[in-house]
Amino acid sequence: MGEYAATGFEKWLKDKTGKDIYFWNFIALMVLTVIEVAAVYIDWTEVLGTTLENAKLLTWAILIGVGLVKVYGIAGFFMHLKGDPFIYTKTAVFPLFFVMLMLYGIGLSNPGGIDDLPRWCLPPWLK
Amino acid sequence: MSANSHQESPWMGSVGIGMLLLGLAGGILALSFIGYSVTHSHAIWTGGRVATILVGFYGLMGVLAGLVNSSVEAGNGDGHDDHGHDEHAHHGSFSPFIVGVGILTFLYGFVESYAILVIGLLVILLGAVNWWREDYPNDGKQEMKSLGQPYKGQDVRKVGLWVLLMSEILIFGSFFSSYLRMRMGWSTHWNEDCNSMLETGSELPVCSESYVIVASEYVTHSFWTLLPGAINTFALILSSYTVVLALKSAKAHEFVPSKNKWIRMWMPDRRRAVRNNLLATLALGTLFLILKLIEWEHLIYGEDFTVKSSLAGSIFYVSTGAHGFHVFVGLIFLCYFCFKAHNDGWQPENSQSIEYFGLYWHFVDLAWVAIFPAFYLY
Repeated sequence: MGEYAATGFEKWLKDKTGKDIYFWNFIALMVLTVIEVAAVYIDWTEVLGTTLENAKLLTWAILIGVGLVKVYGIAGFFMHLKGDPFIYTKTAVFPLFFVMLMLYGIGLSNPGGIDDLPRWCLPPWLK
Repeated sequence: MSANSHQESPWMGSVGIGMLLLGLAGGILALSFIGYSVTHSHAIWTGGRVATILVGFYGLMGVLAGLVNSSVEAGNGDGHDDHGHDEHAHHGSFSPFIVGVGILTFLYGFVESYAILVIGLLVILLGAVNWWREDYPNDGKQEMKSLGQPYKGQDVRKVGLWVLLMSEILIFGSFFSSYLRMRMGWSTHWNEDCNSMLETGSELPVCSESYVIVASEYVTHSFWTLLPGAINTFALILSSYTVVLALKSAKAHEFVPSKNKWIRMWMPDRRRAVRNNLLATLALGTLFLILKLIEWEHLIYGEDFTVKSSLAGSIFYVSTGAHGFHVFVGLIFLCYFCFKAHNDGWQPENSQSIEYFGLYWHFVDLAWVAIFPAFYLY
């Protein structure tokens, strides 16, 4: 949210509507949240005539897709990563590498990673 | 603080507002008790008690703000301290370290003894008040810049905050990845066999030993149980926008009131624009915590879904509780920002403090963007 040079599209948006990019970002986030809630309440098995398994995957895909757009809206505009020096974006993305490593190390690489997680996390003297 | 001649001075000091809020807290408690006696609604009683605690806390912060404000003005009347330093020069601060020691003591006491826990809380309060006292005269003219790579030339406070957010991403990332991995191995309400049993009349299916009831099953059960989480999502997004508006108002060298007469009535000058936008953020954050605890009350007492009931309960309460704690920490800082705004403390030169608070608050919003669909909807 520091000094920020608006792009051509953002200037055009402000000229046409009188509202800046922050306002439209806020509106977009609200609409996307409604879409998230709707995606869960719509019975895709009836609407699309598909199996529950496919409906589950579709709902999951919508939630992840919409969530990623919301993350971009908040981090890019509200937290101003879009206008700030790139080092801040790198700072924000850096820990995600460890999150991926954690997900892989705890879960995907070991079949006991799901149900045995609490036992793994206990210190030796409590086992 | 530099006063703006076009702006109206506050007619009531921070101590007065603090006392008013303490009275309001008592009123809310009485009203919620009456409401509970008449309707027997646990939601009203829980919401009332949480609101009482938070509003009472804001009242105490107001009284504290008034005292700190008086001591700072009395101590810096000539603009120089006893050592001949400029009053605006940034001296650095040990307060975050004191707060850190307080948190360490608090967490140790949480496991070991209540006496240590209270000592920890007192140390946190001491550090926070000292931090507040030190920051109050900060007019932003002595912002320290980072000298080393890779952040050379950037504000030190901004870099520090991003490093904090980096560690926060790791904390929430660990909760989220644990949940995601466990959830992938559970049989939940998305299981086709279980749903066929649901149609036969069983309210919550027990179709196999591995079936796990997750929080979203209770939450999405009806419109009314989903409502608190949905309102909270909108409240956090709206509060992110009000922080942006507060910053825009504080940064404007020539404040131009809105053309809309209703907005102009509430925000006719910079002081009130900054203060009222921050107050809106405070109110929305407070609403978030109240609804969160009403929802927890329903899940714990209404559905018997507790932190001990299953792994699903454990990860749900730890993740949403950690997020709620972050909201509460944000509200404590917001109190300070509101009372400083009330005394016309925010000008374009020191508005970067609001920006840095905004970064933290937006991160809290960001974490909720991941928690809400994963824990509440799916």
